[in-house]
Amino acid sequence: MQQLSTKSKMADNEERKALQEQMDCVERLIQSCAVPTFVIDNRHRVIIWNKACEALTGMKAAEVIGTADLGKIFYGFERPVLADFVIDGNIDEVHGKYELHAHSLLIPDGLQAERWYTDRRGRERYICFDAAPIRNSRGETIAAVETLQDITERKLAEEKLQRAAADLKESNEEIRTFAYIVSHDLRAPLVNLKGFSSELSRALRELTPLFESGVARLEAGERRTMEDLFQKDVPEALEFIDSSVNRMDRLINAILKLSRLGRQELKPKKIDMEQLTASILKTLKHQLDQRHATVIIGALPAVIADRTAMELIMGNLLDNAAKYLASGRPGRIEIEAETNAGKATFHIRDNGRGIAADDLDKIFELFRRAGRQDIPGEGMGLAYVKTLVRRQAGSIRCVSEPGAGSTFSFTIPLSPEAPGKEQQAAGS
Amino acid sequence: MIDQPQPILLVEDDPGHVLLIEKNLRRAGVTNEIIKLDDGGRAVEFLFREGEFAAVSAPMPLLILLDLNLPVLNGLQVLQRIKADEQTRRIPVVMLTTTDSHQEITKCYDLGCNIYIVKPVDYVKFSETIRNLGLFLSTVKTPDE
Repeated sequence: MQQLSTKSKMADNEERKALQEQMDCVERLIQSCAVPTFVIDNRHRVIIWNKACEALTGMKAAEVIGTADLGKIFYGFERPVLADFVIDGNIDEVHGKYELHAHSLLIPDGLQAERWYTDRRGRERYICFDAAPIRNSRGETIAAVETLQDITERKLAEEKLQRAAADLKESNEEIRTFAYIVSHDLRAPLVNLKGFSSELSRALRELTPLFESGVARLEAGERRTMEDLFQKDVPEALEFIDSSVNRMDRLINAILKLSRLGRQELKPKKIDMEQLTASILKTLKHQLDQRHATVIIGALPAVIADRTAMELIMGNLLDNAAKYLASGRPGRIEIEAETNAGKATFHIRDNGRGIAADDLDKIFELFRRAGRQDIPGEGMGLAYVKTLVRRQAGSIRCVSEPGAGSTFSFTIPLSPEAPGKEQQAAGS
Repeated sequence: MIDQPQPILLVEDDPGHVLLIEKNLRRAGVTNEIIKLDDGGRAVEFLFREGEFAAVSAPMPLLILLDLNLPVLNGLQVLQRIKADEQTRRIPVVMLTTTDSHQEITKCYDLGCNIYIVKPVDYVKFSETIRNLGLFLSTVKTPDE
């Protein structure tokens, strides 16, 4: 009996020793882990606090091992740490205690949360906490393990990016509003300029008989001066006012149109680009025939985009291609496309007069026209095109060789980005 | 019968536009008094006999020419007041603006404006439009209530 008891005690001791050794092994494993990690038992007492944790927080294992109030030591005020929520299973209460929180994607019943934390040196750190329960064979939670990751740099970079995006959005908005207001408010004085210069012309016409009878009574020298003023200088001045007002009006209309294109709602629908291109070419038929131009349409993909925008983009590029064909050789225009990684790139290639390298940058700007100004235009077509391509998350470029031809290539997504694709605040 | 000829109310804050509109209406033979107001607030006060116009006894206007961009109350707000009131909602309203924005035009018609005129920089067109309006007014009498 006595012997037996001793034997069983010995077995018990063996077992305990083995268990202890296993525990030590686990602790060494956690200690040598480069990720700041700690473990609390089911009474919230800290049982493991690894070196990486000491390095991150400046809190030594000796200070925290055994405490059931880690939150207070860690944060400097009374509050639970994420592992405490896991031990208590009151996951609903996490809400509002972190900037972000969510169920762990990797560990069942694990929690992930992010929060600012001021370390002992007074540095603000943004930490990503991951906590998960440790269960025994009966499924009871006996402890919780928590890891800490310092993601301050990432967080700051994200915030900077968000601020930059917000700034950009705001200044875009300002430019649009500005263009709109300028266009409207500049028009009102033009109505007056035009109106009153017309009134002046009218008054002049009514004055003519009076003038003629009056001027007849003047001596020759005075008469010539009067006639010069009345019949030449004044009408000339009025004409300049008139043509300048007309030009100003056209410029304002062009800005207004650009601002509208930048604001109007896009309605993406499926578009057969081959059909769209063919119907635009029909409207250019006369012009193309005059230049004995051959047009080749390759296989063009269907895209989901705004029809009006695509018509304007293709329309302007094809119109330009036709307009600036070189005289003296038969024109040739090719329209091709390729798709790659969810995007379609369309090429409009001509054998026209081409654009000088110095001018390539400015052709997409407002009111800028390149080369000989022998063909009427406002210099707005490509500005409209660029605005509409960019509004559809696309880009446009031009490669050209003077005397040989130009290729305009624009890339747009095959379909607009699915809404809600952006990362959302996890769990909140 | 109307004893006093009904005036025309012109609400416009640009004095140049006021003069051009008036000239063209007169050229078309319109002889009615033209009451000129330069902000939307005063227009509402005039129509509803409030504030400085409390004692005015002039008849209701035959027609209202209303600019869209006005101080105090804009043209749309004035239009809304006119069309919401039993006393004024039958007065024809012509909206005047420098905008040919489809959205704004639709808004005006939705609120019940009768005609919408874009003040074009093209003066010939502008004066023709105003004169046609004047000719229409000088030949057509509105039926008595």
